[in-house]
Parts: sequence; C-alpha cells; structure tokens
Amino acid sequence: MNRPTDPKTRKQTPRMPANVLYEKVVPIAIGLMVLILVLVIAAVVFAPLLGRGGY
Amino acid sequence: MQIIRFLPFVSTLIVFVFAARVLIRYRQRGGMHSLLWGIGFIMYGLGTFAEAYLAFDYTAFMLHTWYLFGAILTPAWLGQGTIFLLVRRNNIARISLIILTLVTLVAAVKIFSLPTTAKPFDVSVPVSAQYKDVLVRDSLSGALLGLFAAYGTLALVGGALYSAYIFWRKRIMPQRVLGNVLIAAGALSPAMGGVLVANHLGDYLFISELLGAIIMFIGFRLATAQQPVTAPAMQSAST
Repeated sequence: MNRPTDPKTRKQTPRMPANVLYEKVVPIAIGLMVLILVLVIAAVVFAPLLGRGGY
Repeated sequence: MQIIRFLPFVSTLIVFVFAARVLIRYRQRGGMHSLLWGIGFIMYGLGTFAEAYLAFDYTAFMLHTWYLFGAILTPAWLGQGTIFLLVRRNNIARISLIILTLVTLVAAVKIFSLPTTAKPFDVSVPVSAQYKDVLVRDSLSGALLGLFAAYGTLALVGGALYSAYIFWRKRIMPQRVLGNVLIAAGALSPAMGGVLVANHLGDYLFISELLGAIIMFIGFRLATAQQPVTAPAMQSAST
C-alpha cells in the first residue's frame, strides 16, 4: 500500500453536491412560502379587524 | 373582446380535468384525502365557471355560486383533504370533516340568502372588482369567508410545505418534494390574489386562479408519479 495517508499530502478532489438545486433551492423556496403563508393568513384574519379592506 | 375574460374558462377546464384525475385515483386506490381533494377541485371549478359565466351574463344565482364556491368553500375542502393525509390519529380528521360539512351547510344557506343591490352588474368588469357593490354582505358572511380561507390555506399550503420539508430532510422521494412545493405555490397563488382583491391592492384574481390551477396540477402529477426512493444527492453519497 503506497498511497499517501497524510491528509496534508493527499490530493483530494473537491466534491460538489450531486444536486445543488435540490440541496439549496428547495429549503429557500419552502422558507419563502412559509413567510408568504403567514402574511396571507394574517391578511385574511387581521385585515378586516383593522379596517383594512375585507371580503 | 378582452382575452382576460376567457381565462376563467381555461381555469375551469384545467380544474375539472384535475378533479377527474384525482377522483379516478380515488376510485383506483381509495384514500379519503383523494376524495376530498376531488370534491375541493369540483368546487374550485364551479367557482371559476361562475366567474366565466359572469363575464358574459349576470344572474344573482351565479354571483352567489361564485362567492360560495370560489371565495369561501374551495380552500377549506382542499385543505381538509390534506388534513386527512397528514393527521391519521385520534379521529381529528373525521371530527373536523363533520364540523366542516355542517359549517358548509350553514355557509351555503347564508350566502344564498344574501340580497343583491339594484346596482347593475357590468359583465365587462371582472366579478371580483364589483361584487362588493352588488352583493350585500354582512359580518357573518365575512367571518365565514375569513374562517374558511384561513383554515383551508393553512391546511393545504402548510400541509404541502410540511410534507415537502419532511421528504427533503430525509433525502427521499425528490419528486414528491418538488410536487409538494408546487402544490403549495399553486395554492398560494389564488390565496394571494384574493387578499389583493380584498385589500384593494389590485385585481389579479383571474390570472392567479389560472396559474394556481396549472401549478397545482403539475405538482400533483409530480407528487403522485412513480419515483425512486432515494434522492440523487444520497445516491451519490452512498456510492
């Protein structure tokens, strides 16, 4: 076994996530939609009470 | 002739195709959630059909139908389907369905008993822009709408986002993750359109309903498609 075992000398290939879109965009999209959901619910419930519009 | 007047017809077609697919799935595989989603999408279609009808002719019956199905009932019944999918214990789903059914009957009687004003209905103007001048609403009808909209939007959108997050965190079923994200986005579209109309911030209800129907349809197809169990990221990590 002649492979270099020292982490400093071993050449490593940088690994990218297999699917950046899946790893990064999905949680951001979910977070944004949670925020919009909260705003929509707040508008539906509280806006008429505050005299701001209403259905 | 404005092309926007035909958008509710397109929405109606898409939504009824969507409802048929969901109900066929219910007949093949069962599942109370599928039945309730099917009912919810039929209500969605009745609302958009009434909207389409009111772009060419006016009857008080159609105005009441639009307000009942398009504005009040649809999100709650779609959301009830999600409740049945996600809440499986303690009969919460069944009890909430009984309550929803009873309140729906109350809402139907209430909305169809609302009087209309003598002000003429202009078919060249979207119903969402003039219903407040024609339909005499009271505090109970407004409270019913707020209650149904809040319950349904929270259950449908919140449930879809919760499911998407759970599948994403477990790194399984990526298509179901994306499908649920799209279902949530599609459901938020008409909800935001309704909020804008209610608060006099712009009338995008027609386009928001059409976009919502298309996005939810794609999301549903993705979420229910046959798919690999493991996400691509995990596949590469395990090899």
